[in-house]
Amino acid sequence: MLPPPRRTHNTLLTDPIHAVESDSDEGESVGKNDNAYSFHHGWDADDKGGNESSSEEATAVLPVIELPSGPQKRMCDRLKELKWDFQPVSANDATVKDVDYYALTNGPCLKEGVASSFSDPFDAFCRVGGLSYEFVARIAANSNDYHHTQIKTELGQNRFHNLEWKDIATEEMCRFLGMLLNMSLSPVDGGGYPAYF
Amino acid sequence: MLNSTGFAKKIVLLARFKQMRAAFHPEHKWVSNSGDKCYQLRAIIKLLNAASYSAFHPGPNSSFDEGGLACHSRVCPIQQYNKDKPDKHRVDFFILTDAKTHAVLHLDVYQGKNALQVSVNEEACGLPTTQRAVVNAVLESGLHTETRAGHRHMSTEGTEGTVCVLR
Repeated sequence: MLPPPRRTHNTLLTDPIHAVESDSDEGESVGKNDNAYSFHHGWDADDKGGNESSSEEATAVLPVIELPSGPQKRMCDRLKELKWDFQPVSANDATVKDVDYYALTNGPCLKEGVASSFSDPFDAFCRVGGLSYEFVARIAANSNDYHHTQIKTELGQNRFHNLEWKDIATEEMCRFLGMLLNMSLSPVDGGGYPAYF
Repeated sequence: MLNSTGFAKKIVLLARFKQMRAAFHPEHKWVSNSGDKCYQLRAIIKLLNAASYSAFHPGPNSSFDEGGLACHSRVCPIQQYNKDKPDKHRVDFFILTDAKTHAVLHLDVYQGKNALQVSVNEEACGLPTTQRAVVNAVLESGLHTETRAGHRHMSTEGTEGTVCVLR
């Protein structure tokens, strides 16, 4: 199964320097008075004698958003207003279902729907082991950040271990983790990781 | 191919492997301010525990034990030294598994004193180290929702070494 497209798929995005700077010229002509988001309602078309059918379509598509009037409350105040809504339940109530309850008479097993949620070992590794594609992408991004903030600044150059540094892609990190896993399963006495090369 | 000596050179250059090995950091540096010694592993541990909780129905018997991996890094904050062990320097893990299927139900890393009680269930805070690890594993893995017997037994009498949770 092909992995879904992620923002870290392009490794340049994980470089804090490249992520900030942009090569495109777009936006240079935009002034400070230009609004990035312009909302044109169907009312304008009606007032200026626009087509009636187009205004109907616009009103049908755009949802009506009620903006709150008056001063806004802070999020922490809103959280303090939340209250638990407990319902009194008598003991041994058959109508109350505990989703986490499992009768131990059947022995250990996978929960309902888990077995059908994966079709190959990689899916199983993601579903049951938690090592998803997103997490590997996160490791690659953090590793690239570490290189640019710590290693590269100390070295003062882009060469590292006599090789030009390129940001780690997610697929490359997958291969790296697979190699580590394979090395740990077949240990070689003496030599460390160079023994596998 | 994968079991042969020198398999790695068919996948990546040694210099590139060294680069990735040196830069390998699962978590960003600023997370170290959280007071968690094990911050580099915390995210994957939580993912593993959450995935295990959502995937497995544990059986009536569970095993809990500690284990270690040799680690000679001088900057590893969770490395510990024990002169009586075959690996003098190592990182210790507490693992709760199902006794029959060996599925890992909960995993945690030994953090020493852990004064801030990071990643410890409220009910397990303040207990002695090994007892805290057992109670925390049982509470976090959801075993206590099945029956309270095992939890009460362990939290009152304490445990040493390998235990088998009989429910």
